[in-house]
This record gives sequence, C-alpha cells and structure tokens, in this order.
Amino acid sequence: MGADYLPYVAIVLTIVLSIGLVGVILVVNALLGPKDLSGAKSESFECGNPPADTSRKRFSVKFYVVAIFFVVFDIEAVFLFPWAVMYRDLLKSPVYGSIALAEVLVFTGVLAVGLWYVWKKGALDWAFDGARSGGTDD
Amino acid sequence: MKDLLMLSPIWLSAMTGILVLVIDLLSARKAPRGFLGYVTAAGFAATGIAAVHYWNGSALEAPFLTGMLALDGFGAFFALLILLSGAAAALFAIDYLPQHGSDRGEYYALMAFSVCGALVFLTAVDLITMFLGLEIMSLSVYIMAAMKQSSARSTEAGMKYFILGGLASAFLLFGIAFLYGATGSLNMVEIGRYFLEHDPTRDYLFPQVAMILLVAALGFKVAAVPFHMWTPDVYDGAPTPVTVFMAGAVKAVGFAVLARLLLTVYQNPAFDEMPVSIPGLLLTLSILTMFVGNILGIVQTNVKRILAYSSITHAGYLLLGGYATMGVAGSSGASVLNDGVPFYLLTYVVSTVGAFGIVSLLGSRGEEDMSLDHIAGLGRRHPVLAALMLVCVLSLAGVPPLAGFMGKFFLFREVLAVDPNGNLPWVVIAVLNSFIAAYYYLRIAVYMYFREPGREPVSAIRGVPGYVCAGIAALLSIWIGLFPARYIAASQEVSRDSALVIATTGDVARPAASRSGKR
Repeated sequence: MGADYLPYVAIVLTIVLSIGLVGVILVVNALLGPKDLSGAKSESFECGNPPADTSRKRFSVKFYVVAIFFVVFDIEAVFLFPWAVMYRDLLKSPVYGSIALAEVLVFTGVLAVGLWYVWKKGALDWAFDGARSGGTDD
Repeated sequence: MKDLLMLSPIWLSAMTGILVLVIDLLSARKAPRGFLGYVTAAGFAATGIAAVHYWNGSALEAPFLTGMLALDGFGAFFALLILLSGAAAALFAIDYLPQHGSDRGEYYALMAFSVCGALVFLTAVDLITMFLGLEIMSLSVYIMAAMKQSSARSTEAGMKYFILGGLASAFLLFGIAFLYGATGSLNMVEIGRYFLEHDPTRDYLFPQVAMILLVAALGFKVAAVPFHMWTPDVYDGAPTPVTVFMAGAVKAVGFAVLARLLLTVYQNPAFDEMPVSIPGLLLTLSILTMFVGNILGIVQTNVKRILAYSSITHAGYLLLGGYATMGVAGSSGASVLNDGVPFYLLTYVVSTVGAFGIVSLLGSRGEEDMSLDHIAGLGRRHPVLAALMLVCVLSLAGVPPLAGFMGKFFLFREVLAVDPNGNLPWVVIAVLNSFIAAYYYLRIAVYMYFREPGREPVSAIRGVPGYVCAGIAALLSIWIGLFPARYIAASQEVSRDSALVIATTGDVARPAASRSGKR
C-alpha cells in the first residue's frame, strides 16, 4: 500500500522544494539586495516586453504566420530524429527497412507539398503584396 | 501489402485532399474552383468502393498496426454515410461558394482531410488514434465553418464550434485518461478485457467518471441535449454545404464511435450496477433531447435553424436506440447496438443532406436570408426545388412511405422488441415527439406552397451538380422508404459488429449477486 505512493512522494518533494527555493531567493533578495532604482534600471532587459501594458496592444499578424510555420516544420524535425535513430536497427530486417524508408519519404513528401503550398500562396513573403496569393498568375 | 489495401480508404481520402491542394496551386488564380468538387467527389467514390471491398474485419498484419484499427462491416457502413455526406457537401459547394464570395480550393481539400479524419475516428480501436482522428476531422470542419470570410455569422460559427469543440476534446481526453488510470491500457479491447476479468463492482469510480466524460464529449459531437447549445448557431452561420457535412457525417460518425466505445469498454454486465448506468444516462439524454429539440424547433422562424433543431431531435431518437441495446444469441452475453440505429442513421443522413443541400441552393450573390417568410411561395417560383425539399422534409418528419418513416418504424419496433413492456413508455414518448416535430416540418411545406411570395422572393442558384445531388437525395428518400429490406438487412448485419469481440481467458468476473438482465 505505502510503496505505491513512493514515486509520488518524490514529485511532491520536488514541487515543495522548488516553491521553497523560489521563496527563499525572493526573501533573501528582498532583505539583502541593494535598492537603488532608477528609470533606466526598471526598463525591461534587451528585447523583453514591457512588464505592464495594455492587453489591447496590436502587433503584426505576420509573426503569427511565421510561428505557425515554425511549429509545423519543427514537428517534422522532431519526428525525423527518432526515425533516424531507429533506422539502423530497422535496416537489419529485410521488410521493415524498406517500409521505414517509404514511410519517411511519404511523410516528407506530404510536408514538401505543404511547403510548396505556403510558398506559392505567398505566406513566406515578409512584405505581403497580395499579388501572389492563390495560384499562379497566368 | 494487404495492410496497404486494408488501409486504402484512409489514404485514398487523404490523397484526394493533397491532390486537390496541388491542382488548386497549379490552376490560374482567377479561375473558378468548382471543378475541384468533382475531383473530391470522385476521390470519395473510390474511397467508398475501397471501404466496402476491403473492410471485412480481418486484422492488420504489421506489428505496429496490430489492434489499432477495426476495419469491418460496421466501419464500412458508417464510412459510406460519411462519404455520402462528404461528396454531397463537395458537390453542393460547387455553385454555392462562388455565389457567396468564397470560391477557394482549400474548401475541397479540407473536406477530404475531414473525411479522412472521420474514417480514422470511426475505425480506431486505440484511444489515442481515435482522438487523433477526431481532431483531424474537427479542425477541418472548424475552418470550413468560418470559410465565408465576409460574413460575421460564419466567423462566429467557426469560433463557437472551435471553442466548444475544444471543450469536448478535453472531456474526451479526460475520459481516456480515467480509463487508462483504471486499466493501464489505451486499447478499447484491452480495457474491455480488463473490466471483464477484474470485477468492476469493487471500484466504480474511474470507469464511472470516464463513462460520463466520454458520453459528454460524444454527446457534443452528435448534438444531444444538454450539449446542443452550439448546434443552431453553428448550423445556421456556417456555409450551408458545411452544415450538410456536420449534420450528416459528423453526427453519423459520432453515434458509431459512441456505440462502439461504450459497448466494447463497458461489456461486463456488472456495469449496469454503476450509480449512473449507461442505459439510464442514455435514456435521460434521449428524452431530454427529443423534447428540448422539438419545443425549441417549434418557435423557430428560420429554415436553417428549424432543420438544426430537427437534427437535435433526431439525435434523441437515435439515443433511444443506443439505450435499448440488444443481446446476441449464442455469445458470451455481450450486448450490441440496437439494429434499428444504423438504418435510422441512413434514412436521417439521406434526408437531412437533401434538405440542407436544397437550402444551400436558395439565395444567391452573398445574401442568405432563410427566414420562413423569405421562402414563401417557393413552390410557385422554383417548383422543382420546392418539390425536392418537400420530399426531404416529409421524410425527416416520418411521413409514410418515405425513408424517415421506415427508419422510425423499424427503430421503435426494435426498441420494443428488446423489452416490450419496459420500453413502451419511452417509445410512446418518441412517437408523441414525432407528432410535435411534424408541426415545424409541415410549416416549411405550408410556407413553400400556401403563402404568397413576399416583397423580395427568394432567388435560387441554378447549378447542375446541386440539383442532381438534391434529386438523388430525394429519390433515395423515396426508394429506401419503399424498398427498405436490403438496407435493414445491412443494418442488422453491421450492428452485430458494433461491440468488438473480446477473447477472455477465464470466466467473466461478476459481482456476487449478479443480475442477468440485458442492457
């Protein structure tokens, strides 16, 4: 009965310790740290966002498109890594070697069509002029 | 190789989508995209032939596919319903989309991807595969629902469906997580076997919570009360061909998965002793759905919303069939789906696809006012469309000798056959509800034929594919009503496959004081 819960004890301990550590650091910082605030110091570091701002702020929708593409093609890489690791083992089997190769070719083929699609639609152009959206200009 | 053939419906539908996407890229920017509708429909036809031909219940051979999908007659039957709705949605769109300023090739590609997802969702045995199929299907439908970019209502429909669909997906995942927590498996058959071999009466908590979450998630997809709130707004706001697909394919696949999941996982009869039992829950939902759908349907003045509430009501009748599961002679006591349900879904899909499809042909050049006043006098201005609409609507109402009547008659008869005395009150309620529903169906007919056209009588799209599709739907509504024997036989056959067979090693674990009653 008790032994079943042992793994969870470790998780709970981790949570408690991490919250505790954050608390200790904040408290020690507040007690010992020099407080010498000036205007430049309270600005956000490098390219960080302003910590408090209106939530209705606008930014270019282009970032959204780029982020989506990044996720899509990043996933491709994430799937290719384990495939590459397993491929040497799979080659030992006469059947699965070719199946694995065919599968990864289909997978990248589908993604290549996707890349072609976003390219052709002009979604990769940062300065989108609309002229290239949707098919070729014949 | 055999696996590739067995899986051909799934990859054929996906390839159709990719092919449509490539053709769309290669065609001139300003060229109309309607021809892609024919490509999609042809792809779906090939998919359907492959499904009927190859889905015979034999297992996949490759080790990484073992126990992942169940490709059997049950799958093939519902695959045909999905493909029928999908092909109709593609063909109705050929003339609809240009009229409403959203003639884009992506619509047809998304329709094919959505069908592919629906097929995976339908056939999955592994619960994660099932979830993936659901998401492939739903994400495509969310986009298609918001496809009419100029229309705020369409955007709202897409957004609403997306948010509530996300909620339903979360319910489904939680339900899967509870089943996994209780049994340590994600495979329906394995979970069912665990529950058969370990007496589930000892600890009902996880399977109980999982069951409620799964019914809620799939109840959302089939638009059962109280998970129906999105239905009228989404069906009304979405482009009408998309509504055809949602009311036809999504609902059919939702019922198929609900039946297979509950019947396979909760096969042990001891589950009837759960505090909230499956038959009890489904019966409650069924009666609620019938009444709420009908009463709200009566007060609607918009044809699309009337049909949306009609589709909610039909979910109620179908849930009654889901409640009255049947025992199988000579088996280990596993109950299967009531054999009236697949046939009822067939009649419902044919008629509702026709009705929504005809609505998609009414109204042109971006305007789409589907209020009853607007279709007044349709019988005089567009006699063919009005006649086809009349057939589909009367079939939905269940007027003999149309398909809808045979569907209701057979379903109610089979529900009564399970338990003649116990089920009588519920069947009486269902029949009473059919009478209530007749009011709003006949209202459409009255407005079409007995009201003078208003100041701005409705215009109609004149397009061959839409008319042909509507004609086929109306003809099928009559044909199935007159000659139902083949379809009923098919329905009886596939419902036997609804619960996946679980080979157990020992006796079924039952509680000490076991009841031997059927579900």
